[in-house]
Amino acid sequence: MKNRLEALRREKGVRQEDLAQALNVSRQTIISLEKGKYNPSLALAFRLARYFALPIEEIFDDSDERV
Amino acid sequence: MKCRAMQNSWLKAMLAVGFVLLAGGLIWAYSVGAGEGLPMRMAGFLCGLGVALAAIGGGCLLLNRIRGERRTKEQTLHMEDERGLTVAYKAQNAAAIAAVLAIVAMTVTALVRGDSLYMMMGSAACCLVALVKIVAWYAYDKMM
Repeated sequence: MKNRLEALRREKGVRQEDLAQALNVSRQTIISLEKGKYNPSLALAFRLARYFALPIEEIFDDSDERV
Repeated sequence: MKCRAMQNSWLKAMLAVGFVLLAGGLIWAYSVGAGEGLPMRMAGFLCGLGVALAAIGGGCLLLNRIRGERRTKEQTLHMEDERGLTVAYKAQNAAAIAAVLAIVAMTVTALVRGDSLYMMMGSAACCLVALVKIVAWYAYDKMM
């Protein structure tokens, strides 16, 4: 699943380490999310949406997974 | 890698248990004497287990001290957040497959060598693995 995490984080001027701390996950998890190698759980997706004050659909793009 | 992030209290407990097992094994070994077969092997097993636990516990405590509290906490988070748990789950699956293959190899070797006791033990272990998988699958299917 594609996402705009890296762009949003850079827009906000936040370091990966700070984002990880705010979401209570490791920096490696943020790196994997940004690279699209790992899809977050629903709970983490909601935490991300709340952190960036955006709907989940604006952060994650599931167009390639729709049936 | 995993040991770096284990909590110090667990590591201290592991170290203590290791020393107790080692001491118990040594005392047992000296009390039974060299002529005894099975008790001596049991004492040796206890000593080996004790040394292994003490080495892991002590080594990891030392590593945690060297790396510092902040880095240790980061490592713990790396292992315990949702991605860390997913990675651990996949690693456990791989380990389980390796264990089953080892049991199958042991059973086949026993079959070739004509060792009926180990052949039966290996077969029983394979049956147990299959049974646990079926029961666990059924239980998790009901729970989720």
